[in-house]
Amino acid sequence: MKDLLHKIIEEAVKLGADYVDARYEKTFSTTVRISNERIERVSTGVDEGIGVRILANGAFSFFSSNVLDLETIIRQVKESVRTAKALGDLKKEKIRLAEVRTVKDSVEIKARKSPQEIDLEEKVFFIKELNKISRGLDNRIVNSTSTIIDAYDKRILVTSEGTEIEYIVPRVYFGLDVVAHEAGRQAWYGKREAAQQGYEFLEKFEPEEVAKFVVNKVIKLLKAKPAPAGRFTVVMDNDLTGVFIHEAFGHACEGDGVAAGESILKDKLGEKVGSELVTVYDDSTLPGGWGSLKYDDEGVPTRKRTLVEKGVLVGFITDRESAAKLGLEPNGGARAESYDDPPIVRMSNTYIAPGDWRFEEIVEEIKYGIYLLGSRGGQVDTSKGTFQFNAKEAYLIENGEITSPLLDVSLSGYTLEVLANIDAVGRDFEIRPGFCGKGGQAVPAGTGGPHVRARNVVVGGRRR
Amino acid sequence: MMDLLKKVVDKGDLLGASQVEVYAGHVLSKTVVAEKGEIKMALASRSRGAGIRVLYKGGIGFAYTTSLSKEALEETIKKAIKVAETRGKDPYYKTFPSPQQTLSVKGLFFKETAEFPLDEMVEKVRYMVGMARDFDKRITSVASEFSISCGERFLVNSLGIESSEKYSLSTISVYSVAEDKGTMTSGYEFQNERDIRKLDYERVANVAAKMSIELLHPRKIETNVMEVLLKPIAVSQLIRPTLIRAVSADNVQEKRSFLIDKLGKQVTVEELTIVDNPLLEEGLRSRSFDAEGVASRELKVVENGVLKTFLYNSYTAQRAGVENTGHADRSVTSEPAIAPSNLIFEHKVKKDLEDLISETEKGVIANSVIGAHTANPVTGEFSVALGECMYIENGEIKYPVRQAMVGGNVLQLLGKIKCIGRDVRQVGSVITGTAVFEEVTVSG
Repeated sequence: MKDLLHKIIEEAVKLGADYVDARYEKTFSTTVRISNERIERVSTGVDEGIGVRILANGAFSFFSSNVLDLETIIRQVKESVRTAKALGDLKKEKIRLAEVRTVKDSVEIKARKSPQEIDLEEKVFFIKELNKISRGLDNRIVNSTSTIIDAYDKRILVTSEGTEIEYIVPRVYFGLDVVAHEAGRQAWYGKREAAQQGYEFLEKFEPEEVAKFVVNKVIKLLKAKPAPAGRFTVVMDNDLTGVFIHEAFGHACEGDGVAAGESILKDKLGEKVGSELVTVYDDSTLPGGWGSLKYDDEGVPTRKRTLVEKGVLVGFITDRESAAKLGLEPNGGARAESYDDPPIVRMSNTYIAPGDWRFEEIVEEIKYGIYLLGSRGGQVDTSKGTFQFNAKEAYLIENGEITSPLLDVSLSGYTLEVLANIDAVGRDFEIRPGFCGKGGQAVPAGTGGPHVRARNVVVGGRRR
Repeated sequence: MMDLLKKVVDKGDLLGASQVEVYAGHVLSKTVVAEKGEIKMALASRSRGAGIRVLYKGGIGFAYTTSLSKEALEETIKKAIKVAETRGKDPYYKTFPSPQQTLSVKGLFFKETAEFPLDEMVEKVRYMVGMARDFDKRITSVASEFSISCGERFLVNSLGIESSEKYSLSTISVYSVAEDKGTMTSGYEFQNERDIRKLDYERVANVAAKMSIELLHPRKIETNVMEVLLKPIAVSQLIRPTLIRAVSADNVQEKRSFLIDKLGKQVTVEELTIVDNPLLEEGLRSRSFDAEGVASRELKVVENGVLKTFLYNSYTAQRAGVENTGHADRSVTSEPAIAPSNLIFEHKVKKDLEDLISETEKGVIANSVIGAHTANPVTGEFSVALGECMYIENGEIKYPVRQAMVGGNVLQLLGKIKCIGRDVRQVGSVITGTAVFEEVTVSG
């Protein structure tokens, strides 16, 4: 396949391209979902294709194809070079790419039990157990759905500058979701785990423990009451802190949005953007991290990026284009979901650094507030600086005590207000796996941090 | 393509499968993107693939491939058979669908859309960007996209279904950022059309630009009970992860739905009827056959507030022992799931949008909801922020709202729907006008 990529680059350069990157990707993937001990869904297959980005006359064109015959592709190369040149004529500000050193490397994340080598029966064993055990733990459980998704992803990147990187990453992801009914009430709780590993990842988990954890949560939620609406002091757990800092702040640090003038942080580098208790990192090098990667999809070595240091904005996440526009160094933030997508600026593992508060200290001063745990995700508008995200689980805090469970609660607000209102940062730390969506592309991303307390946050309940 | 797929079915027979089905497609798409007032990139994509399903010794097997070479297809059939073996005999599923008379749907494919040249797309994007930028000098950044995709989908099975259908789709969007005295806001608008000649570039640019300007200098509102007017984008965003998931028969059968005991019961106001119509001319989700080859037909899902049916594919219909409603939906890389086609919301009380506003004593009108994907699909509980939101008092739009959230249960909310505007549009599968909900708690 490397030959095909070289041929593409050769042809494009011959036709006048100033820069080309050609990526090949082949992904073997299996998904299995079991619902109440019946295999509900199995999908297994191979997706293979190329994605080519061409810079000519200061403009980009991109094409992708999973039809890999040379003639079709060369025709598309010609058209793409022509397109880029034509677009370039219309541009006042030509696209430049920040200089980088070329790299030749081959990276393989080794799997002891590679998704490629294990047969379906073995793949299903763990989630079958999860399903059976969780169903049997409590007669209020009416549905138990367990899912396993694996991928064995091979990528090759070749650029016209001489970079050549081969990348092999195995991934395993599992989830357990349970539904409980009692006296006309329903509750749902789910848990997901994932790693850049083979099936050996599952050895870390006792099905019994995972099942008990999830079932205990859902039974508690059966007793939940509607949440109050209005402004409250809130405490976020590790998981939610991670989602908050990723959604509300991390997205606004993405260099493409900053350079396009679409981020509230665009003129704030070096300025105070939050409480001095807050330090934020986006670390692509975190060992074993779900969002970790050694090189980005432009072949730039990644690093640990400090975004906020003691409340001051000190960095952005950049690709080569946004780095050139912003006068910054490219720091390996370009990621593409698959061959079908051009790389765009993305986060990797984003977290708030731990502080020195104990959990009891964080909660004990609160007269009336809300403790929020976990998240099903959120959404952000980086130009308005607003966010929404949801908690999987929430409790009232009354006079320093955690009391009644609450029905589905979300938080919303202005990022910079909430960051300024953080007045306690815990000493604990956890990072969780998730998927981040942007521009129609979903990539694995880690999010985390300690327990964090913030004042005066809007909570979307339904009673006054 | 059809011949190739028929050969796959024959090969599956030969390898011992009792039934074989291939769902395949190819699609060509091109996109032009502008950012910060300038053309940024042009993208083209060519993709194809096939998903093969078999019944083998009573078990269901599925596998997919994006390579359509003879070897890859044969390998995929073998994989599907292996999956069926591992899975074992299915307790409910007996057969893939049989051939049926399909009704033709008008306006799925337009050659004008397929043949629209790239340089004209570029020109239109520049036009939209210029239009939005010139709308007001407080507009500081404009982004825009224009994309066209055309393709064909195929369904062949060993029971004799041989169906194919071409389609085209064009989409434009504009995103406008406005800044004034330290505040920054944004507005956006989009339009999807099967027939590219119906795209209104000027309107889309102006709506986005106007929205960004109107949202400048937002004010806080107090937490209170008031009317909430949700525009079609907001309604669609809220309905998709809640009602649409709950009405799918698989979620009902697996008790992952808040509608499990609601069939034949009142689930919303009497004035509301919800119809799924896959045969709608030029509908964005129209199709003459579903993803298992079942003929499309119109279906009343909710009639006068009463839930009449769930949406079924062949598996869930056989499991429930009911007629298949033909709502199988999937990409070539997955087994058939369930999805509505064009889901039309009709309220007995219809009014012009202006009247909806002028009759509101106290309320908010929101273009979108933020975070609907985090709603609880099993219980219908949601808690979302209102996007592009304006405060209404005594029948007049007063000012943009800085921050507002709405929470509750989607069935309770649907029970508060007073009327629907005539400003009808399709967003995703949902076709509706602005919906007015009474007495909702809005947190500010």
